[in-house]
Amino acid sequence: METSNFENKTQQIFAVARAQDTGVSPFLETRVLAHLREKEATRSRRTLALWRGFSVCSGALSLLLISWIAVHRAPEGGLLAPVDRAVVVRVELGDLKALGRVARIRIDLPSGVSFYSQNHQQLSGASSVLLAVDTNKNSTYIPFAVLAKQAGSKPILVRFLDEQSTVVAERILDIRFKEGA
Amino acid sequence: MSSKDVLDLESQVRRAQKGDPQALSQLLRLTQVRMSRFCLYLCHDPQLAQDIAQDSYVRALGDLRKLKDPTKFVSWLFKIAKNLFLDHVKSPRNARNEALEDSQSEARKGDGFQQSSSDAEFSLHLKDTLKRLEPEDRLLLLLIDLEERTYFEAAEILGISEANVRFRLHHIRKEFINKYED
Repeated sequence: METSNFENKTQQIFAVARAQDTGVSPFLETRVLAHLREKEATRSRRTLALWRGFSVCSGALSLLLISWIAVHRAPEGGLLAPVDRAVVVRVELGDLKALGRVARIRIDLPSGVSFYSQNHQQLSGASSVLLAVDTNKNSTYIPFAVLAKQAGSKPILVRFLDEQSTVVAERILDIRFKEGA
Repeated sequence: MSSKDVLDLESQVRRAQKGDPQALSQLLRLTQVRMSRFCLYLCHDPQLAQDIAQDSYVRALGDLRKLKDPTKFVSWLFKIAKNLFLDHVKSPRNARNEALEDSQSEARKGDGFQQSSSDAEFSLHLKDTLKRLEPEDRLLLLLIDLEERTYFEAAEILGISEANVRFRLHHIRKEFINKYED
């Protein structure tokens, strides 16, 4: 009984409160919509700034990636060579010879590129060769000549082999062949 | 709220979620009387009530796409208002200023709204009584007895169990009547 008495009284009081006009600010709608427009404009500006930042960063990132690739595949001397003209390439032996590990060198040429030799005709036109390294000689490099019939970037694979024909090191020489270079 | 109003509200919420700017205005117009009244009796300071109502709408309408069930818009709006109110109450700066606000609150009528003298007297007495309740008790009483939310809805808004709502309501009503008739 007591519970329902308090409940009834409370509900009567608030029924009167609901029936009264407590008023609504005439500026409420205007202020709320203005705030929402401002929020939306800020969000759009932030999104635009983010995309701008992304496009700048992605450009910089691409540049960085290309540079990284270029550095790690840097040719020995970085050759730009002409098409249809023989080019001499030097492969440095360096520490490998000093360690006495290198007994042979295998050179594989890509398509469109072949060896060139006036003295060793059997080499001319070949795309792959295996050379013995003379450890008695003081020379620290191996020279060879190549000739390209096609333009483009041509990677030359040089493998250093020990006495057991195990590959102890390898290098890629990037030579860019260009018409009229 | 009539069932027609409820359907209207639901359709406005769906339209607003799809980006219809007219629907945002409609949502405001359909709910602002209730929201303003609720905030006024909750805060007993007209200026604070307007600020809380405004901030609640900005948050609710700004994040409307997060509302999965459009039928729960009003509950969601009240929940935001509740959180803003409790944050205000619990802020140390606001706790210190409360005594000063009490004496000045009637001087700050907000945007120039005037009630009749008998309505004003009733309203003032009701606000004074509510002010003497703990903020959480005031919230529960207003949700159930002013806004006529169900126990389930009030429990959802307050983040407590329905059983807790029923239990506390009895004691809050008793305290309220004793203070009101004091």
